[in-house]
Formats: sequence, structure tokens, C-alpha cells
Amino acid sequence: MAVNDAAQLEILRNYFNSAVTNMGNVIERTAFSTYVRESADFATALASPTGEFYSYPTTVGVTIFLGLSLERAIKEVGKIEEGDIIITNDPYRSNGLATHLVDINVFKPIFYHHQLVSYSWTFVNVSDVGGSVPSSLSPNLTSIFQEGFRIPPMKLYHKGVPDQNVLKLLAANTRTPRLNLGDIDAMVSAVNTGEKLLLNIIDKFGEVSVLQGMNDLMNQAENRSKSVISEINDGVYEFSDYIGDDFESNVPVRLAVTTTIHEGKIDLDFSNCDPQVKTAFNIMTNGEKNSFLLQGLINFIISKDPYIPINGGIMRPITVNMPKGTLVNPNFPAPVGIRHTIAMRMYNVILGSLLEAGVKAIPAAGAGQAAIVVLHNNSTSSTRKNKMAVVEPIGGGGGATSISDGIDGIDHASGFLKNTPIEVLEQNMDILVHEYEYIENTAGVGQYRGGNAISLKFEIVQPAAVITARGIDRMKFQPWGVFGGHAGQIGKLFLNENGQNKRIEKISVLPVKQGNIISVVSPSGGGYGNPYRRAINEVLADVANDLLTVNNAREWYGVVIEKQASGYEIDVDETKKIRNKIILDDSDIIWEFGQYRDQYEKRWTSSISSYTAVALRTRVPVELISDIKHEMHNFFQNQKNPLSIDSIDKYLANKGF
Amino acid sequence: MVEQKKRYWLGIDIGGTFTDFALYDSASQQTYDQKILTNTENPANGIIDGLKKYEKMGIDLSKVDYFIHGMTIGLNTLLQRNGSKLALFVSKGFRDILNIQRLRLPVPYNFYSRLPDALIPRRNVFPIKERILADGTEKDKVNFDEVDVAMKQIQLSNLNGVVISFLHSYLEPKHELAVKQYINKYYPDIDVELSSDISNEIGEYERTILACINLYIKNSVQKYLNTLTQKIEQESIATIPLITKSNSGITNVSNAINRPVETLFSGPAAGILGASKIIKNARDLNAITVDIGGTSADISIIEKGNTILTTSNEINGFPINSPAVLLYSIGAGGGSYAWLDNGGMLKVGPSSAGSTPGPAAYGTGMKPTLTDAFIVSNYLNLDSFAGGGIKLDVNRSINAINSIAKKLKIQTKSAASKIVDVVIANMTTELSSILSQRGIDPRDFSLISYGGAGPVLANYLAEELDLKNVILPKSPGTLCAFGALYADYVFNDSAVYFKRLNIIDKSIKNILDKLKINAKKWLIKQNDQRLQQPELKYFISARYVGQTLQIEVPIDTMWVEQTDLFKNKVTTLFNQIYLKTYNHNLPEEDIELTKISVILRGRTPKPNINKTNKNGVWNSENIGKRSITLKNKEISVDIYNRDQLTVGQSISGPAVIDQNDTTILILPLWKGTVDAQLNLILERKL
Repeated sequence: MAVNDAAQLEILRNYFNSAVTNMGNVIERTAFSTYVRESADFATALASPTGEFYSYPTTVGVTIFLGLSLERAIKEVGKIEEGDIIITNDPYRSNGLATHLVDINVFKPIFYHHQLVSYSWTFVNVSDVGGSVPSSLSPNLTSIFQEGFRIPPMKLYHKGVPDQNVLKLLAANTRTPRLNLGDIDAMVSAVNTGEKLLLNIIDKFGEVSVLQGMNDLMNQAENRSKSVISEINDGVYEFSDYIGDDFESNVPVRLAVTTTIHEGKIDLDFSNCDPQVKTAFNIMTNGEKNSFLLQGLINFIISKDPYIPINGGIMRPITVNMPKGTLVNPNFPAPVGIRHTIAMRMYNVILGSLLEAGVKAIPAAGAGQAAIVVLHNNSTSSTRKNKMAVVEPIGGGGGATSISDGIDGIDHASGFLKNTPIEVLEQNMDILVHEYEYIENTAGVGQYRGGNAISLKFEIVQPAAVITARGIDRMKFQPWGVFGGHAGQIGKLFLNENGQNKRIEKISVLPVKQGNIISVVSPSGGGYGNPYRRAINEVLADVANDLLTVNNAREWYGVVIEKQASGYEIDVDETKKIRNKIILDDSDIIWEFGQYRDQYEKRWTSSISSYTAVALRTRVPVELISDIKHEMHNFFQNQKNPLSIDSIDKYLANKGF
Repeated sequence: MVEQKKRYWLGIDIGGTFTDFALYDSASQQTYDQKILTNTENPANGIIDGLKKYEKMGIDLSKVDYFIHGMTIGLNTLLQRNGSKLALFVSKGFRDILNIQRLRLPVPYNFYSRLPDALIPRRNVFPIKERILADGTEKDKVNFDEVDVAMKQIQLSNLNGVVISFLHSYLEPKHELAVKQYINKYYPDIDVELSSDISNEIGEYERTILACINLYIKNSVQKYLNTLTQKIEQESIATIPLITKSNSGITNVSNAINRPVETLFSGPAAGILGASKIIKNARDLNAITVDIGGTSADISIIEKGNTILTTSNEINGFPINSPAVLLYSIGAGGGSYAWLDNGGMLKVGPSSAGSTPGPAAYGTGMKPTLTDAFIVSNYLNLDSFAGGGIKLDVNRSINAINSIAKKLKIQTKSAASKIVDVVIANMTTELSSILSQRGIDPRDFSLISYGGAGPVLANYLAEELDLKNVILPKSPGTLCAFGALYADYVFNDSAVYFKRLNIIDKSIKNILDKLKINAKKWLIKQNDQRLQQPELKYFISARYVGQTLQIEVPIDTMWVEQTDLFKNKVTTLFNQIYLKTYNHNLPEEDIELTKISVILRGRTPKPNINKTNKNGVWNSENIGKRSITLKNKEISVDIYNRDQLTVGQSISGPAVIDQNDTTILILPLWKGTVDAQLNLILERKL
């Protein structure tokens, strides 16, 4: 801090933050995409000449991309001149700057006295970029070519002049050309705003101070990030978690990390992650760290130091190893459209490894999904109603922390989601909502309990429609509890047809008829700490609020409550009797993963899954991996005992690998 | 028509430190201001004290016709969460409406971020079987057995009232009404509030929370206003108190008691209205109003002399959808703490010393605040702070600021200067963000500043933001009190109207008529003899089909007679406004309508103050010199006393102007000129 002292740096941080916020305001005001208005699916930032974000807004747009880098995209473009503006949506040629094709990125180099000093950047989730399906996203697409039109990093403006050919090409390859061109206009005016504001800041504070300030702020973030990490015990920690299936089979997809903490640095090794899948659940990083995957860690750092400058410096103490062919670094042309399912689970995996490292401030797992339930209206009879609209986004109960209960119905990992009022929903769509409320007795039990599940039940009141629910998960593997806290419950789907209520599998596309009632039950959050330590008054409050029955209070928490005319009362003596009998053991971390995972891992132990993942990735041709993996799981389906390395090797050898 | 014997109108503003009075004599067209320390325990007593002071001045209080005041009691009840104990009835299946809210967490990446606690706990929320559909038809009748069970429980739990909020009641309130009737009949002791009475807006959470807040604060507002009315009667002042609403209009006491949620922003609204009215050339004045108090800076915008109404204000995380003046709040005020964060960066706020313990200089707190930085910088007159009501201990400020200076290894004065710099940067960037959101060019806008700490910082902000000038009213408190005298009766109402523009018919006329009748009824109930024919403005909310945003298009009732004319006019206007707001439009897209709203304005007679103060015959001289720290440099500046300044006088910066409720700082490249209304106008020197 030679040039900028404690006050000056704070002032610069404020000014940079104001610049990126103003850029965000431009997008909010002028973009066309409904995703901008309905779910704030856009972002803005200022990047250093090397492409690292030194300022990222906190109040506008999505919160998950603060650690992205422009580096690869800049390289792809070649010589960049004053007045150029770059556009791309290609995950493969931007190292995951664009995480899927509907995220169109635009950035502009900023020159001061002909010297490159910074970039202004933005992206917008546009309405459609072509491909197999309207709005371009679907879980069961199997190649990026089905997901839409790719724009490798290229110049949209040459020295201040727009390239009409590029614009024509873009317009020709989308179902929504007018909307997309409007979004691109908005992004151009946002990056121009960023340029103007940064130049003002340089005029005001001087070039030396501002350029130094960018670095100082990233160094600040780096050092503070480091000091949060340095509180973690040095060592090597492993953790894994699962996505229930890959949408074309029942075989789970396993995400694993080996976390090494060493003197304030953290290395995340994803070698043991499952290989890439055929369907759209891959995330393109090209082996570079991507903040989307690391959100759990970033949230942990920000929760520990809430005033840390929000910029890419937070990411600097992090290194990653993501071998080619894992689902976090897939081979071209793997599809990547529904990458947020991976990101949501990786949130749990990385935080789980920090719990292994003894970081008590890590919460238990929350619902771990961001299911976007969409109704596609196939009927033509209604004029007012929308053709396609999000019914509600469904997260689920949050994980409990070491000092507080999880939030009912809201998981931090998807805490940016906003719902639509039921009344608005029913005005805009042919549905009747029967229920949108918490489900009692579902919270993962614990000293601090998880958040209860949320239920959405709606009836189709038109002749023909289709439901999709991308991003739905945790329908088999429960959100885990820790330190004696119990696992949360899984999510479930029900279809009520002619009065018959039946449980159904995870859906990609579900055709529905008039009178059908669909019921989405979210997962609930895991608990933290032994439930017998839960404050008696908290148990009583849950009972009084009808979130817990009297029986469950006794059985799960050892708290005896009686219903009196005037309300519920605690039987102090009985409660003491029960609770005194329990010997609490707090010596070690105790995981509760739930029955499904326990059963699954009896056969597919953690080490054998890791071994198999690496074997498949390194021995089997990429196009065969998914099939071989599915067959292998079927083959061993009836095996009671843990599989051995031998049996895996033998199986693969039989197949010729 | 004003009765001859009644000649005075009185505006009152109860601030944290002072209660300000502005008395206007319609006979002589004179105003009499006064200022007394606020009685925080019982603000109504303060009002009586002030009235007695007028009496001593020889003013016949029985001749006070109206008195208008902004109140904070409802807001405080909500902020302190000490309102009534309530129950809520909701449609079956939607018990968690107050818990789920709109899902999105305030800070999604902080593990500990939470939504505000529900105003009514889940145990007191009762789902009732009933259902109205989105087209207003009935699906399920109300199950009154369930109402009975709930009411028994409510009695057992000793709750004071019940809010009823059923789905789609904005369109068809009959179920809410039926349950209310039932409760009134069989459980007459329980207060009932209907969501459909409070709001006709679609969106169940926003409507429900508004109704809940209304009933939650009703009791304390009623107590306060009853006390006030009784006291006024005891003093035999036969005057009619009027209350400022959040929409910067006024209403009578009984309306304020029934709908206190519409007066939540009563205090700030009066100030903003005052700012918009009393400044000269108000008609085309564009301004940013900045009211900096102890814990926060409240900001609003005045465009072409008019306050801006919004339905998207917030209080502590609760959405407040009833029309109110646009209000942004920044967590920085005189009491904001200065501190060093984990990385050694200097921060100011958002936590604040408030009035207890207050800044270190007040004698209790130890931690440094912005006010302490002002004191160390020597901006303030230590003897007359808050009218001499608060004694400042400069040594305590020095010690407090020193704790930071030591860590930064700099001089105490330098640390104080940096604290001021950080606050200014903080406010500047927030303000510029607000300006950009609204597409405002700062060079067309003035800064009107009030509140204790406002005028200290106003010049800094104008310089940083490149604003046209700074307008500093003679007495900030009086600005609010005086502004209230200009308030009209303002009534907002709306009705949902979901239809595509190309298929509308004359049914729209019925809605307009209904709104008109309702609005006029409201005005008649105000029972103010001075009113003439009210002014009614209608708007229709529209958007392109499939969008979620809404744009208000002003409409003329004449158009309704001819459907085609209506369609054309609305289409043209909508596309124009859309273009202006979003820089682009989609003229070929279909338009859908969502809501029709009305604003009624019952114009009150306005004070007629032609009198402008004459230019002084001499310019008052400085009353001394003070060595202050300005941008980390020590300079000696002239000190003036605001009360001594004369019209037309010009003061060259740098200078400090003391007044008994604030201090004004004029920067080196600026000068201040006193205008005919005794406002001080700061402009850049040529």
C-alpha cells in the first residue's frame, strides 16, 4: 500500500464498485432477455490487463462469477486495438468464461493515452442461441452442437465500428434475433459505460494510483482469502458426493475432490471425479479454476470476512487439477447446457472436504438443487396465457450451521433465486396451485436443525401441456448432516392422475393432461450437532409452529411436550430423564449420509469409485465411457460386498480395456 | 372557504433532536418559525410545549385552523417490532406466505444471511379452506367451521387481531368480506384487517405483508393520535390535525388511524415535499434531496418540481407496495462508526452509535464516529451543537479518532480527514448509482441538503458528483414543517385489469367510474371545507405480452368512449415511454394491460408568501476565524453566523457557517449566496 493508503484504497474500491454497478444498471434497464428481468441472470466486471476481475458488483446480477478470467478469450482474439469490442459464448474457446452457449459475453479493452489499462466485461443469458430445442437448453442433449450456435471470441467492433457481418450471422442463428440484438446493444452500452467511468476515475485519482489500486485490491483480496484459508489445518482431505443419475441411466454421477491445505494455500484435485457424461451435465473449464465450481469455497471465505473486496484476488490462493476427460474438463464436443447441476453439487463436495479438515463453520448440506420447473403450453385455446413460463424455481431446505438452523425452504447454494407470486402465476398460465408451503417434520434433525422442505403442488387446467424440470436432483442421495446432525430428506415428485397419486422418477420432459396434479417435494437441509443438545425452547417453538409433532420431539430430540388448552408445555422432569440417559460423544466428525448412499457405498466404496473413475477416463475411448460405466454398474448390481480393484480391472480387461 | 376568525395554519415536524414549527398567518401572510428540543419520551408533549410558546408570543391558538404533521410512531413500532399480537388467515395450502416471502436472500453468498423474521409467527397463521380462481370465480366456499376453530385458538392465545388474506382477493374480495362479517358478528372483540381493503395489487406476499403491517402498527398509531387530539382539546385549541402520508399528500386523523401503513414514510415525505416546494423556481427544479441524520442518509429525487412516487420502497427487508415518495437509504450518518476491517481498510458504517451511546464526544461512547471526525477537523461550533442541547467533549473525539490514527500510523487530524473522505466517496458512489439507474444527468440537478450532518457534506457531494449547485434552506427542520403546509390531499387507488390491448372493450369505463367514485368519496370523508374541485389523473399499466415489467401510461377518460382511439393513444404513448425508459422499444409487439390506477389530488389553499426578503444594506462580517482540516490540509477559514447573513450577500469559500442546528462547509472553489428566501446557494466560482 505504498501509493494508496487505507482510506484511498477503500475509496477506489467504492469507485470501481460503483462503475461495475452502473454497468449492471445499464443491463437491467436496457436488456431484452426475460432472464435479466426475472432472475437477474447477467453480470458485469472490470478486469485487469491480464484478464483478472478486480471489481465485481455485489448488488446487481448473479453472484457466482466473480473469479472468471478473460485470459483465454483475449488470446483467442489476437491483436486488440482501441475501440474494439469482443464477443463470445464459446465455453471451449474461453476456458469457461461463457459456461454455456446462452451466456453471451461482451468485453472491451480500455486504453488510457493509448496504453491498455483494463477491460470492461459483461454477459447476459439471452433468450435463445439456436440448437435442438427452444431456449437452447435441455438435459438430454448429447453434443454442444445441439446446444446452439457457437461464437468463438471475435471482434464485434473493429476500432469503434460494428461488424455488420457478425451481427447478421448471429441474428440468423437464433429463434429470437430481435431480442438477442437488443441484448447485444445493451451489453455494448454497458461496456462503453464501464470504459467511460474508469477513465473518469483515472482522471480523478491519477493513472498511477488507479493502476496500483487495481493490484492493491486484488492483493488485499488475495491476502485476506489466504488468511481465512490459513486458519484451516494443513493436510490432505477427501470428499465426494453424488448426482442421482445422468438422465440416460440410473447410474449415479460422482463428484470428488482431494483438498490439500498448505500454509494458506488450497489445492483442489478433481482427478477422482467421474469422467464426462454424454448428457448436458458437464462443465467446461479447460482445466482452469472456474469460480462457478468453487462457489462453496468462495462463499465460505466471504462469510468469514464479509468485507473482503469482491474480486478475483479471492481465487488466487486456490489451485486446481482437473484432468482432461473429467466432467469438470470434458473433451470437445461434450454438451454443457445444464452445468449448474454440477456446480450445485460441487458446492457440497468442496465444503464437505473443509469439514473433513475440521472447519466447524461449514454448514451441513442444504437441498443442493435449483430445479427450474417450466410449463410449456401446447394448447392454442387461451390467448392471454403464456406459451412457456417458469412455474417456480425450487431449491429446498438449507443446511444447518454451527450457530444457526438452516433456512426452511431456502438453500444458500441457490439463495439467489426469486419466486413468482402464485397469483401472477395463475394469471399468466393455465394452472391452479394447490399448495406452496413448508413440509412439517422434514428438517434434518440436529442441535441446529436443517431447513424444512418446501412443497409445490399444481394442477394442469388446460388440454395439453408439457412439464420440464431441469436442475432437479437429490432424489436419491440425501443432503448430509454432520457432528451428530441427521441427513435431510430427498426430493420427490408425484403425479396425480384420475385421483391416483403415484410417485414418479426425475423428469426431463413430462407430458401432462388436464386434471393432472403435479407435486414437487424439495429436499430438506441436513442438521448440525447432536439433536439431544438442541435448546428445549427451540424444540418447543417448532412444535408450536406445527413444524414438528409432539411424538417426533420426544423421539428425535428427547424433549417431552404436552398439549394443554392454552398451548404446548414442556415436561421438564421427563425431558431431563430422557436426555440424561444419552451419552454425547463429540470427539470426532460424524457424517450422516443417509441410507441410500450408505447402501450404494457398500458396493461402490469411495476408493473403488475413484479408482474406477480414473480407469474409465484413462483406458476407455471417450465416446464409450458412459456406456461402459452403465454396463459395469448393471453387471455388479447384485454384488453384496465391496468391489475390489481386481474385479474392476477384470471387467475392463474383458471389455478390451 | 376559510372562516374569517381562523387565520393560522401550522406545520410541525418532529425530528430526533428538534421539533420544528412553521406557523403561517393567512391574514398578514407572515410566517413564524420556532424550534424546541424534541420530547422523545412523549412527542405529543413537545407539540403542546411549542403551541404554548406561540400563545406567549400573543398568537390566539383558537384561531389555528389546520395543523399538519409528519409522524414517525408507526415506523418506529415496526422497526422496534413492538406492535400488536396478531393472527393471519390464508388460503389453505399457503400457510408460509410470510416465511417464504420472495425467496431471494439479502446476501446470497453469506452462510448467515437471512430473510427478515415473519411479522406473524407460523403458529398464528391459520389456513382456511376456500378458493377464488384467477378469473375471480369461486372454486371452494369458505369453510366457517375452520374459521371457528381458528377463532377459538386466537381467543385462547390472547391475540388482538386477525389479518385475512386470501388468494386473488384483489379481484374478488367476497371471501375476505364474508369472513370479516362472520368474525364481527360472533367475535366482535377481535380487530379484523382485510388484504383487499389495504391493496388491490396482485402479488399475495406483498399485499399480505402490507395488511399485516397496517394492523400491527394500528394500535400504537391510534394511541398516539388520540393522545395528541385529547391534549389539543385540553388546551382548547379547536384545530384539526392533519397527517402527512407517504405519498406526500395529507389525510385526516381517522384515516391515518385506519390506514397507518400509508403514513410509514410520513416524516421523510414531508421533508421531500418541503424541499420541492419552498425552494424558489420550484416549478422546474430538478434536485436530489439528501437528508443526513444520525444513522443514515435518506435520498430522494425531485424532477421538474415534483416528488416521484414509487411502489417499491422497503423497510428492513419488507416490501412496501403502497404508493410513497421514492426513498433510498444509505447506511451512513453522523453516528456511523469509523473502523478498520480485516485487511486494514478504513470503513465508515453501516453500524452506528445512534443517539445512545452517540458519538464519543457526547460523553458515553468510546468508538470514533463521523461526527467525531467533524469535531477533530474543527468543522463544528462546540458550544451551539444541536442548539446547545448537547455538550461536546473535543478530547473524547480526539481520543476516539486517535485509536484509528495509531493503527494507520498517521496524525489524528489526518485520520479524521480520511474518515470524511471515505464517507464522501461512499455517498458519492451510491448517489451516482442512483442517478444512473434513473438516467439522470447530474449537471441538471441541484443538491438540497438537510438533516444535522447534511450541510457539512453537501458541498463535497456536489463537487464530486458534478451537480449544478447546492441549495441549503435556512432551517432544515422548518423545511419539513413548512413543506407540510403545501401538501394537498392525495389519494391513490387501483384495480387490476388483465387484458390484451387489442381486445379491450368499453368495460374499462366501468372501472374508471368506480375508481372515480371511490376517490371522490375518500375526499368527501376528509371533510375539509377549503377544498375545491379535485383533480383526477388516470393511468393504465401496460407491457409487451409475456413481460414482467409494468409501465404506467397516463390516460384520458375521453378516449374510453371510442375503443380504437383508446388503443391508438395507449399504443403510441406506451411505445414512447418504453423507448425513453429503456432506450429501445418493440412497436410491432402486442401490448397487454394489467392495472388501472387513479391519483386524486384535492388542492388545498397554499400559503401566499409574496414577501421576499430585501437585500441587506450591509454584508455581515465574519465572526472569527477557525483553523480546519480540509482534504488533509490545515487552513484558516472565515466563520459566519447564519442568522446574521443578509439577502444577496456572497461568501467566498473556503468558509464555515455556523447555525444552531447544523454547520455549512463551503469549499475553496465555491461561493455561497443568500437568496431572497434566505436559502444559501452554493455555486462554483467563475
